[in-house]
Amino acid sequence: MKQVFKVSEVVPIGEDTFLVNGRAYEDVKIGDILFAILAETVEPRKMEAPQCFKVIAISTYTRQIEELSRMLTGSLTLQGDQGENLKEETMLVIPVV
Amino acid sequence: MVADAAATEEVVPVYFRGTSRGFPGSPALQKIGIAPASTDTIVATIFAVEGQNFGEGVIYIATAQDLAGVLIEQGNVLAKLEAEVAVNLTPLEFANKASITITAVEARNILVDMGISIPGMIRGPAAIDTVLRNTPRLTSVQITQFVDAARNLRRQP
Repeated sequence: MKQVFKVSEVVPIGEDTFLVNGRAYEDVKIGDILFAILAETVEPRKMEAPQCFKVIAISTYTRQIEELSRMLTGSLTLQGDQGENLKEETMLVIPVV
Repeated sequence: MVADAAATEEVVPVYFRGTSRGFPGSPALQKIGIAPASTDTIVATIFAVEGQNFGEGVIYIATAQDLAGVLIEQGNVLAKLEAEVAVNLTPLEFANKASITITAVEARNILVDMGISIPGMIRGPAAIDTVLRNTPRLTSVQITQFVDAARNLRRQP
């Protein structure tokens, strides 16, 4: 899997919508589908029940952008049902075949 | 009663940007016209060392005078960790305005002389986060000491 975004803070903004702050480990853009796992369990065999979130907005330095480049810090607005799995130290990943 | 001059002296901020020489910044930063910078030398040195993976790692050092008239805003979501500010310039504009440029190697050597060791190789965001969370931040006196040492290297961009 590819580590995409390390979460440092989570702010619920709706029933199924969450703002997560942190750093991009890879480029991430609006429309990407990310899976949330705890950072310390970043191993493929631990992804038995990955939680899926769609990136619906991105901002950095209070400006709205389309894509957050690797290494930049910023905020992702995520949409998904399993918000309880988003917490500090969560790693958002993309499975790689 | 005479006030303690050292206690009342205003600290003039200096802004440090660690990167690789000539890097124009990510497309997003170029588009929004923001150059992330730190008020702490250790943070900039960490990013400069990581910048060595893409070319010559450098720290651009801009004084308040260099940035006269430029809006400087609060940093981003990890601003506390990175002692970060957002300078309203593109990364290349920041580089051009910075009056001092030193390499990552020179920055590490200055810090060693001050008793502070920064790893010579840092690769990727996870390593950056780890080093950032396991290094101290400098006092204003130490930052002045660092800038004086950098100035004495007499390097120009």
